[in-house]
Amino acid sequence: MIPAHLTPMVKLEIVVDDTDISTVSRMLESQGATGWTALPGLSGFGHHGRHQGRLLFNDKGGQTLLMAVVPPTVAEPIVAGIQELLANRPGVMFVSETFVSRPAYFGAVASATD
Amino acid sequence: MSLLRAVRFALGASATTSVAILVWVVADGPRAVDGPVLSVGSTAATLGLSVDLIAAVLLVLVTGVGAVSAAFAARNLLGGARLARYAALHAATVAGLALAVTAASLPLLVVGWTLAGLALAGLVSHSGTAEVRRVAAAVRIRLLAGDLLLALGVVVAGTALSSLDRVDLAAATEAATTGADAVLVVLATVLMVLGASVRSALVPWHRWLPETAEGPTSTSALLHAGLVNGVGLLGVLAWPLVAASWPALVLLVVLGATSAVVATLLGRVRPDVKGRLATSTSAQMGYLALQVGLAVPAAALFHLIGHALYKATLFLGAGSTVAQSRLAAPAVPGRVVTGAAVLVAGAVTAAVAVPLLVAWPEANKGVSLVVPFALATVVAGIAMARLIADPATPILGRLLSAGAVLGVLVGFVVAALAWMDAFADTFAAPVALDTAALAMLVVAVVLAGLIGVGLDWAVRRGRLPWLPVRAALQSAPLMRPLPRRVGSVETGEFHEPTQADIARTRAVMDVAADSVGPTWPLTAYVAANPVAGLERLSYVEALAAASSVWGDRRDIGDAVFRRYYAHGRITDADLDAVIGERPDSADVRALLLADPDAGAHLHAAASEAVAGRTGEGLPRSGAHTWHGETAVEALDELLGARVTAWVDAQAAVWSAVVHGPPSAWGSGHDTLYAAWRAALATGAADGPLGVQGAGELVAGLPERSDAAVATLLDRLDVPHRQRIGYLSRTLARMPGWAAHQAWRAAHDPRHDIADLLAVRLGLEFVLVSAATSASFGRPARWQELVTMLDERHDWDADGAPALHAGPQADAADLLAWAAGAVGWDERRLAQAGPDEVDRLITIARAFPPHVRLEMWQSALERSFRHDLLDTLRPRSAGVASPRPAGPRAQVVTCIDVRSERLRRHLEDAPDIETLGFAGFFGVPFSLVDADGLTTAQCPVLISPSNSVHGASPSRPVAASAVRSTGRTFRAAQKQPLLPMVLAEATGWLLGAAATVRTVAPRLAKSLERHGTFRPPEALVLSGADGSVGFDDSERVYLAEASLRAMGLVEGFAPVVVLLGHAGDTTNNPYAAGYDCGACGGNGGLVNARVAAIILNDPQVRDGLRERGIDIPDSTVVVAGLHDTTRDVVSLLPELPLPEVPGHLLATLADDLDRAARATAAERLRHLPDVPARVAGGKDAGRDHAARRAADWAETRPEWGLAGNAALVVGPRELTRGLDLDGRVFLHSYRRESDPDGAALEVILTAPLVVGQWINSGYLFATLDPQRFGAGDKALHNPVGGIGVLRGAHGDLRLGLPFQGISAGSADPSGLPVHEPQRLAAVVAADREVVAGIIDRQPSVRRLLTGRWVSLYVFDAGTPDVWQWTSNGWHRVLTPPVASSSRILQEVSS
Repeated sequence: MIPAHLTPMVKLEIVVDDTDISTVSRMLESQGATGWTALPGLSGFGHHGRHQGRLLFNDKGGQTLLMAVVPPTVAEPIVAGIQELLANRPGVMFVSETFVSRPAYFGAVASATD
Repeated sequence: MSLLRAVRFALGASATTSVAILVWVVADGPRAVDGPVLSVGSTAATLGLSVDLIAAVLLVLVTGVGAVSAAFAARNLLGGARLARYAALHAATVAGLALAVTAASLPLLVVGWTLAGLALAGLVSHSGTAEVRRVAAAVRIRLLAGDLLLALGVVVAGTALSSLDRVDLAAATEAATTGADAVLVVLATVLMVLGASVRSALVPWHRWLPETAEGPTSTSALLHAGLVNGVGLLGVLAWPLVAASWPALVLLVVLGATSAVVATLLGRVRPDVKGRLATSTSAQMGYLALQVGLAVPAAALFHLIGHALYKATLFLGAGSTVAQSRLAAPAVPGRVVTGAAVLVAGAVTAAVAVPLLVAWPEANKGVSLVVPFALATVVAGIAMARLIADPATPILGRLLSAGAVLGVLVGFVVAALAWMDAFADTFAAPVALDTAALAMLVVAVVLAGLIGVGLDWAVRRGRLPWLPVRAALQSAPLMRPLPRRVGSVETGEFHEPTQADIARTRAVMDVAADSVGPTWPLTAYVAANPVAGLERLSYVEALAAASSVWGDRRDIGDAVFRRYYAHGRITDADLDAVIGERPDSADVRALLLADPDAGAHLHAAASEAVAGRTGEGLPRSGAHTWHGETAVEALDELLGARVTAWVDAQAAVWSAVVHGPPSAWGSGHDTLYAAWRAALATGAADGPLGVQGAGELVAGLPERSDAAVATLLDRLDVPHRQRIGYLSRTLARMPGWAAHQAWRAAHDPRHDIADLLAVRLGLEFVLVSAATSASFGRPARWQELVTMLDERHDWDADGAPALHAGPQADAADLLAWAAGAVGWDERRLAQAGPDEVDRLITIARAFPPHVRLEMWQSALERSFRHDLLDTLRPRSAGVASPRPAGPRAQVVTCIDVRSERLRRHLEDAPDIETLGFAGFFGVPFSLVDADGLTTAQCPVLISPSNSVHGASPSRPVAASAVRSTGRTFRAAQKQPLLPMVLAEATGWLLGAAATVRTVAPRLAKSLERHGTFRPPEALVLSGADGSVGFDDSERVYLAEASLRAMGLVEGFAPVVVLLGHAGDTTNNPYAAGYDCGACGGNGGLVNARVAAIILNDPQVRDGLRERGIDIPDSTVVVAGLHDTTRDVVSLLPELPLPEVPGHLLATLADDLDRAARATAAERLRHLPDVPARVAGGKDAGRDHAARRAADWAETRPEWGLAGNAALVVGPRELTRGLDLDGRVFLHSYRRESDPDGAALEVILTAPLVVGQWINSGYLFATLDPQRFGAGDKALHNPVGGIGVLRGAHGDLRLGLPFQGISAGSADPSGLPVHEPQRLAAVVAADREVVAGIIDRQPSVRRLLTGRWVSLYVFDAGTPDVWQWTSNGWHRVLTPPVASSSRILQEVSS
């Protein structure tokens, strides 16, 4: 069970082409995400075929997973923006609920109960 | 071409004759050529020539500048059009000027003067486009206005004076002392001064001068050195007349001081080199006018000549500013220099000026020379300050440098004084101002100068925001946005968009940016696909998308392919093969071969044929989802305005000012949107925009640019599903600056593509609201404008076809064209039944322009590819050329197509083995050189995470002194007002340099090389912290990857050479384009050195041994450089090599030299303007190549990668001995050493991709040089190190210049040198391995399925060739090609 003192947040996991990393990261940052993490060199399979991990001399040919944890209010517009992007680009986005112990660290406004 | 050459020789001869005349005049006194005497009333004027000392000196200047610029033009314009016209006008300009300076009387002077002006305006319109002709007409009108004033002044003078002859002018003026005559003299001189001021582009008539950058560089040199000297010429040639009229003198001083101050400030906001030089000319002309007004015409003559030489040299050398910004190191901070300089200057001026004033007998001379001497002491002060503050130069170097600067300045002072003495008698006319008045004027001038310096300081610190805004707006082209001034625009609040809206807008902007490709600053230029973002689409779709969104949105023409067909390069067999077997193949062929205007005469008949048929009955094309026009374009169509062009120009100006070289304009905002918004919010732009309240409106926009874009799209009422298209079109109107903005955004988080979009949309919104309010009573939205357009087109049913015309008009056009193509006449069309009509329309719709273009392209590619595959086929099965056993050396070159020639010639020595690998040799890093400059030495696909530091050993003293002196003069150039004295002090030197560069380019280049010599840096590969260099495991990893990729894992020779390459060109903004593309547009030597260090490292060799690669201890790896422009190969051993017998390296060096010479001779055959002796001789080729590399006027120093058509990945045995004519990228690969295909995967996902980018860059630049290429180099105007403008204004140019892909008119066939072929990749590997790689690598897969690249595989030893298609492997059958039409030849061994 989730310990009671943890605060619910939204976790976003976005897989996009390497060339779209800057768009997604800019969107995250400008909407108020306090941080994000990128895992490059993904392998996988999808609607656009297969793709295989990190390339030696090409930083722009693969796909990357970007992860960010944001408060729900911040998540809404980001999701709207990424949806718009994915309507025209390969990639996927997973939105899930997660819990953190330092909500302020992730940009949550302090609530009255704190 | 021959006429231009003839003019060049004639002017050269006349320049030498002028020098002789000067000597003659100095020795023997003035000469005259008598002519008829024109008598009007009591006034006489001799229509002949009179050459006194002044005229002789000016004649030398005019003919000398004319000769140098003609010589420059003869090289620079080679292969261009209308050269005979250029030659004639150039000669006419020089003739006019020569006439003006040697005229015996004033009327004849005016004739020559006017003639020169008219001819020069003709030169400005050399490129012949409509826009340029408009600019030239505007220039011509202004020049003629000035000439009219001048002529009027001469006429008025004629009524007062008895003679208008120059020799009698002093006497005639003295005689005209009666009341009426004196007034007339005053009036005449004032008119003449005004006329000359227009010619000299003094403020407020200065705006025409920067516009002349629309003409070629040689025209600008002639203009700024010869023609623009109006006030100076008037002052010295008609001195007695001017001197007698004190209002004229005062007017000169007032205009001169104003120009000197204002033009200097204006120059601060010009980002382009030619614009800056032009505004600086206005300032210099102001100074010239000052000198005349202060009654020192001898000084004015001195300045005139110095400035002419100075400016001409700077203009001709404008192309080198890109290279200079590439090498520009952080200079000594400006503040330290200025503060110290001012202190020192103040003290020295006081110490020098007071004795001058006291001791000089002629007070005039003393008083008036205070100004230049004061400026000279400031320069001296700067030199002293640098002496103290420049730590990078050794003490001796600094002393030498200070000595050089002081020497130049002292020389200047001495020369100026000697000059004044020499001309003392010549300018002995009485001056209408007494000493006291002159002194007051000097004080006024000094005050003006101080005000100017103060204003400059204020502008730099952002204290006067309105001034740079006005200046920036002024630097846009001479046009008004709206047909008439409109009233105010609605202000109202802009709603803050929701965060979700902003996020969605960001996604939309990113997708819209697909339509503009990536671009790098010219300092690291790599040819790339201008529509790279569209590589997600297939090639055909990308052609359609690009042509419908970019620029003027016409289709990319297939004219170049039809020329190939006419020449027989594309045969009927090729066309048949491409069309394929189909019942209507004859019709399809007819459509392919049809002209774009076939069937123009059948329009009426076609309309009839489809008339009466409703929309449903006609075959439909795909529905338009977007009307294709933005709000301003719709507005322009409705109102007949040119708002869109104005918005384009403004957005370009703002981009250039913000991103260009650091201007002194301290607006406090360094991003485009913030700077623009702050500037407009001051209200200073309301006037030029013609819209009241524009500033308020803009101030109400959101602070963040992405929010601004979101809210503006809402206000313009652009529906969501149209926004991507709308923004695509907005960006594609200025693809150059858009691409640069995208590059900046990728490298600097403060910048954003939204900035540019917000600026454009903001301007569009303001103008559309204002214009529609004025025309329709209320502001209209985009939807309404488009609807209005739709309705209007419905009414104009028989007008020109519209983008969104109804299906009937659409079909009629197609029918008319198709019918014309298949050869129907009007009667046949009228008789055609509805089925036949439908068939024709359907077939025309099935083969739209971009599909036909691709078919032509496939036809062109077919024969080359079949020839290549057919030639390689027998070599793949057997072992035709075995690998040399026990080679004495292995030379690894870049895969660059230029290496093919070198490798072929090198292999004439049978025991040398060559290999090909990407030119960065598998070691990507950032190089941080001794000055702190960082370059990424790797393909642009990689962001390097390792860095290598270069530690520079100290330069030779002479070189460091030269460098420091250069920096001092450049620092002085940047200060306000100092360029005045620099022009005088250094003009002569620069003029000499220009002459040497013109007459003996190789000598000039070798002198420069000595002056700037930098010994190679010591490279530091490992620092105390792990961040520098490569750690041990990285070294082994990268070394193994590279060796396996090349297939070099055994059989190492005693010497392995890693040969990086670089180009060597002069005065060339595109210099980086000749360097190594795999090294990010930099030279490859440093990569070769780093790789050699790694491969020589014993620890690395131990690691490699563990991984199965055993490099014998006796093998030494050596780095070298192939200079591809001069074809010189030099080896650079890092360490002393005791193990390698000295003779081995010496023999190898000999072999490399021999091969390089042969490469030069072979390569030069293909360049235009190569003397016949080059083909035969051994050294003649090298010498000629060196000349091309050193010549500052040369636009085609080498062909670079032009002609590239294929990439072959396989062992050298496959291609050894084959003459591939420098058209193939060669990458070594052995499948035996790569069982799992890992190395092949590296090759296909990196070198193949880079090769395809380069190929696409050349391809699109050849298909459409104006849109996807940078156009004519002679018109290029660099903006810092970023890029070039074409002419005076406008968008940054993308892509390769015209001279990079074609010889133009210098090639009689009229075909471009680069054949527009897509890349064919030929791989010697197992099909399953290749298929597996394609299956799991989307970047490669996309290129293949989209038909950007075709992939052919020679499978393991079988004779079959297989092509990869999305439907599987397809065996390629190549019919035997007749030997006469073979493109590739076997080299007889």
